Amino acid sequence: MLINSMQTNQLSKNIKTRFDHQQARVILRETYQAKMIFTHNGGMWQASPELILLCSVCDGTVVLEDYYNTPISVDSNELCTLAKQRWQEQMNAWQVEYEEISKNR
Amino acid sequence: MTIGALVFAFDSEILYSKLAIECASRIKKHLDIPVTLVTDTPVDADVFDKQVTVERGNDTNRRFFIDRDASTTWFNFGRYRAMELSPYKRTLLVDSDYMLNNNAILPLLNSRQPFLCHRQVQSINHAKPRIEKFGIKNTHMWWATVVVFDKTNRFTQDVFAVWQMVEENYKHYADLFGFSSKQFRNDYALSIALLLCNGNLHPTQCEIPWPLLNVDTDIEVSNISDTWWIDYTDKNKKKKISVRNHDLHIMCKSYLEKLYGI
Repeated sequence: MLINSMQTNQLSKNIKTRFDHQQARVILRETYQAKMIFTHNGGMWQASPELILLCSVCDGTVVLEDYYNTPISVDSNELCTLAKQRWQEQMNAWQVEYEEISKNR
Repeated sequence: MTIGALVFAFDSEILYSKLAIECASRIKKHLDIPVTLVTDTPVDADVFDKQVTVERGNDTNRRFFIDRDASTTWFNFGRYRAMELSPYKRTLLVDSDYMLNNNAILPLLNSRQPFLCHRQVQSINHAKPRIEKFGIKNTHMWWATVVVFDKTNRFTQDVFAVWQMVEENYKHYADLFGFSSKQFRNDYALSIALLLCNGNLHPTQCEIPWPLLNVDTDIEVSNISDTWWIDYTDKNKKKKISVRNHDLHIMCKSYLEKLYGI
């Protein structure tokens, strides 16, 4: 197959364009931070080790502060399960995508 | 409770109605909610569950787009009518150049927060999010690009009423806050409305918990299946990144037009 000069220029332009791993990781982190947000019992929560830990030390129905500093009555076991599930799911997906972009050149 | 999305599109040199079709199909794909289009000329597209025809009005803005290398007409007046025109109790109001790529907005629609929008913004090629400020008072800017609201809530109703008041008296508010009144910006009108309705305090309860991801007008975008490729120049070096699962506010309309064959 013949490659004309225009195609050669485009190829050399593509080769010179480097994948910006650092920036891609910054954006990827933002993506998964957003995906950690979920609603439960009328409150907005961010799945995180802190929330999971807080729910783990509580027992039964407790009043916790949600993302917007609103006190919400929740079943701590139920919230703990949801937070753990969301956190693990998103951390796994984050890792998969992180590995994928690491392969980009 | 009814939940749905509202997209405004008034065609000029840029065919916003075509962008709205792409925007709506993404809303359906990722959020699975009905979409209503607000326009001046009905559009032949099945993706909209409802179309509301309104008069476009005579007022226009002119805005220079780097990617088009030309000044373009921009009909952005009357956005405050979203509350009255929305057939839904809880509405997602989005700009037609906002490309959804995941369902992160769903918890916002299912929450009890009466009014939500972005305050933090991050340019796709910048390391950190920032808060834009405007006028001589450095008033924080809240973005009208994505707004989630509950129309039955009193605070929401007040915000839209003040938004209208600011639009109708834009010169006065521009003088008061110390910014140029030459070009009407919904972001400014919304920011002033939120500030006034919240007793001159930053309405932190209205902030979407992640930054709006902006692709500025000087950045090239292309889309291959579910992956967006972003090409930019950093310190004279050509760089690129790929983005898959994050919503993007694509400000370079010409790339969107190219992508969707408009």
